[in-house]
Amino acid sequence: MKKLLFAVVIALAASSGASGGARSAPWGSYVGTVKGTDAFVAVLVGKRVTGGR
Amino acid sequence: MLGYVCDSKRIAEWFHGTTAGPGFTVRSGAGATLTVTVASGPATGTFTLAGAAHSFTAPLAKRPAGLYRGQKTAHGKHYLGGWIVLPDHRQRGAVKTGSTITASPQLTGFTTPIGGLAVSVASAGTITVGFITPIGQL
Repeated sequence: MKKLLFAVVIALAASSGASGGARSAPWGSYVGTVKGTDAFVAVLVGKRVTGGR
Repeated sequence: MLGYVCDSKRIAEWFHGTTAGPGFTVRSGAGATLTVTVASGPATGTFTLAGAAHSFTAPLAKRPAGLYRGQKTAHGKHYLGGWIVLPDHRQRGAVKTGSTITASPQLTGFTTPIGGLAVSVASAGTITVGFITPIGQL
């Protein structure tokens, strides 16, 4: 049982690293408001972007 | 990465850059800067224009929230439009020619984009607009 739990912990740690973790920016679209202005901000993080015109 | 800051009136700044890490700074053609940190949770950072710095927080968005872009060349001029839609469907958008904002048409139909999206600008006619999707973990 302990070996199984250890394997699960290792697998979770590995998948966390592969999905970004603390060393790289998680890809995706981020949108929000800019304080002190009426402006909105969009930040798209990824190897490349697609779509638009 | 691709960034855009817009207030539909006087601010419509595009940012392009590359990054391999969770923190980066990019500069627009007009000299504005966007400093961003994306680690876990929302993106946070500072937008600086003409020496004035403004902080922001931007959670991860799910379509139809996000960034839309359309461009067209008409009568010898290049028109570039960008719209930011928040999860509550509030939006900011503008069409620029060079560094000048020439129009701020509302983007409609983004919740049911069957047949594509478009805006109409008096000086350019119809501009086709599309949703922009980032691809690939850095």
